[in-house]
Amino acid sequence: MNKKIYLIFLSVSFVWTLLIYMAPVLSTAGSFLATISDFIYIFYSKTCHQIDERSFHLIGAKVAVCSRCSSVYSGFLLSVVLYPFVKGINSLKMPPLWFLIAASVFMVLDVFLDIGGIFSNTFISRAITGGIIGFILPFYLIPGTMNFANEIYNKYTGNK
Amino acid sequence: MTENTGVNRLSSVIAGSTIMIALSILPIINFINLFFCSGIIIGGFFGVLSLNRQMRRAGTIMTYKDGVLTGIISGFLAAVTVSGINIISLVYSSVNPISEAMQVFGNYLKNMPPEMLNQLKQLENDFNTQGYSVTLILFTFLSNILIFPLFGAAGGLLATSIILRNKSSLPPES
Repeated sequence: MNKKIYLIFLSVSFVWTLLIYMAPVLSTAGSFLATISDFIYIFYSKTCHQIDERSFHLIGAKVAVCSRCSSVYSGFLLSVVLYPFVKGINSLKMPPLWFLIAASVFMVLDVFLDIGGIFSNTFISRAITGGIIGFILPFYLIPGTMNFANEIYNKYTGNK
Repeated sequence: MTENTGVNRLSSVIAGSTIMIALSILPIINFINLFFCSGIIIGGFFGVLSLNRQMRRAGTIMTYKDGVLTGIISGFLAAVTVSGINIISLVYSSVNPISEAMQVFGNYLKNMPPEMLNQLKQLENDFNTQGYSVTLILFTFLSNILIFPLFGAAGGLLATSIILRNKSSLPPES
């Protein structure tokens, strides 16, 4: 059961991240694929500002989200891939909460110090702070998803 | 949705979706959603905190199912509301959003493949002739229906995981 849930989690993360990097590739492929790329950009515009100067570029076109968001999602996918090797696929134990708080504080500081004009964030600072929180999140979300799936499974199979 | 225990799940869903809607449509603060939909995650998170507070008062224990469903339903409700507001503002606004976007991304458009430019011009023409674009409205609605419940569920799951982190109610299955 946990293996199936993990594979679903991995597949969704993989497709979500793949589409981000496929958008610029498809845009240069022409005709129908360019239209798909167009819709991928519109879809991700709901989740990100997509400012050109703040985005990584692939074969001359920006990826579908900014450098911070692409680092968050790439870090997330990397963490999901590594999860079974780090924690074991059946582990439902979560790391201490301060890991998540510290990662969030780093990213919030990177954003607000830039807005306040105290520190100008860079591609590297955005990528690192985004990558850290993206990497941390699955260690809370995967056990939660497995617990949720187990609850549903046990309810419908009558297991206690 | 009010149970015998005095827990009103609907109020938690409405609290969560209200936060999502406010953080999605209010000017300036809606920028928060540009950081991987943080506004939607926060809505799901606080919806679950509200449910947990009610359940603690009622002496019942929250489950992961409660948390995830609160996040998903809050997200769904917010998606429908935000899409409705977006559509109404698109139809009644004299501004062509595609023309505006094309002006903002002027330099980027120079490097854009002709097929993509044609697609954008098609959408721009739809707005000029009809005042709205059915394709864009449908796509916006479908995107919202996918993104809001997904990130709402993530916020709900995160809150539930934090609330229940010391309570491993279910043994791991092999």
